[in-house]
Amino acid sequence: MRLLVSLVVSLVLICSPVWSAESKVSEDEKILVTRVQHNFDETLDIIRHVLYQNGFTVAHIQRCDGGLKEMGYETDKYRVVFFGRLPEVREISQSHAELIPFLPFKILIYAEGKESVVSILNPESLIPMVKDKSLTSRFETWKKEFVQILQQAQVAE
Amino acid sequence: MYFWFLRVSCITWLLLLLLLPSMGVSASSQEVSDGETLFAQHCASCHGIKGGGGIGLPLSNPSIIKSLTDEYIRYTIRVGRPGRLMPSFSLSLDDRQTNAIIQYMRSWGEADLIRDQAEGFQGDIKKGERLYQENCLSCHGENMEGSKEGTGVTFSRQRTMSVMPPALNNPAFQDAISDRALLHVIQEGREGTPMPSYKHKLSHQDTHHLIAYIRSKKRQVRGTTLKDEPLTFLVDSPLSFDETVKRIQETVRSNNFRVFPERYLEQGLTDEFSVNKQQVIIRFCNFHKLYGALKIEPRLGTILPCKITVIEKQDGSVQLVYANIKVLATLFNNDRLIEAFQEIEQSYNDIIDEVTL
Repeated sequence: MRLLVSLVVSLVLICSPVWSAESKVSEDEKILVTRVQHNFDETLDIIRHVLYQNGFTVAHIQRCDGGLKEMGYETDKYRVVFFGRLPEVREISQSHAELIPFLPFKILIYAEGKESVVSILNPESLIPMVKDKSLTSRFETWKKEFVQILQQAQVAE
Repeated sequence: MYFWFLRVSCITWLLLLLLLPSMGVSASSQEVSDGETLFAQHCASCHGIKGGGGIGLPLSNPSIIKSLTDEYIRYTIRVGRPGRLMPSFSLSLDDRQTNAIIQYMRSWGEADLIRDQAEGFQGDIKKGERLYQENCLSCHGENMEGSKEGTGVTFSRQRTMSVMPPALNNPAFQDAISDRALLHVIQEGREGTPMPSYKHKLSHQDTHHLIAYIRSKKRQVRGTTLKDEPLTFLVDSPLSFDETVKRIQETVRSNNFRVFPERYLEQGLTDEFSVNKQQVIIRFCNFHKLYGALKIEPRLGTILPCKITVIEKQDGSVQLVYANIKVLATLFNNDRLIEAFQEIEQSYNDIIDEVTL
């Protein structure tokens, strides 16, 4: 029995890198992008739900088509969702005011036919420009959270 | 217990090594499977699940995959298309991973370029220019910049266009594609896309004239150096908080931007009584510039650059905080966007100068 359990555990450990490679979010790009196989409205709901599940609050959702219609822009399926965590926004805006332009965070959703594309700025891509290196781990954490949000959105039913 | 576990792990590894070949996991099928995962991870968001197309080309379309050589795909993955949407994957995909993606794409079809009957023929640029104007200009644009009027759901192409016509003057496109592949696409066209076949209209020699002209129009890419560029700017205001907000709004309007209702930084994250009212975001937009920029890069919504935040610190001093447009522009591997942002940057500088000087 002990042999069997050990064999199973070993197999799990050996195979785990292969399973983790199934992630369908490109994690090394400056802009994280994923495709969600749901229509635009469903994806917007999914994103709201996933953000909530990850402890974020949606501050507001911005349409970008208002003044663009006159110029030939024909769709309303392009939204920017602003989100954050109040304590975090408060703390950073006090301790590192230089990061305020990136707060609250923004996640972009737009329709691609019957599917949707979801994009978000990869916080890690900003690290080289951030003078206070103590912030590096925070940017890395945000990146992990954003990747998780995109992954969860991708597999949501 | 530890040694027992170690021993079993070693046995398991050995068993796996012995069993893998008999399980039929050949190198190539494993590569295709890896490639499929990598494609889903890095490419499907633009090129669609299984290469069906989206913002990016429908790569699995039989007439398209046939025209894509391994070298072309490899170069395009590595360098991307600076000035277009295709990013460079040079940092995120190594040679093995790139090859795995190519192997996966090959499961849709092999490259099969037609034989060039005029191989080695030197085209005439002048003749090529005339042929371009007669046959190609309406879709590829006067300066070969590709689609001019992106209006569809993703801005990047007209609704009537199933794919975005490539910018033939794009240096990375020109470096990626061989003359023979160009000839193939012109002669055979791409079924299922607006690109028709010209085999009954243009001889191979005519096509070489056209290629010579296309090659002569290769655009030069401007380099960008961002050494020591700050991520954001924090500027002191000589005015009070309210005066600063009012002054920015007036100045932004006089610089041809539309000002949206201001929002507090914390607005929406807490109730209206708890929100810090000494942190105001002034959001503005010039729709003409935004439209131009969105046509170049639809993912611009991830940064929305036109906003200035005014904050009052505990000591009563007032500051303006805003992102460095130059830095934001470089996030997209797109020198056309960098050019478009230069105008916005100038407006930003004018606004800040007027408010703070």
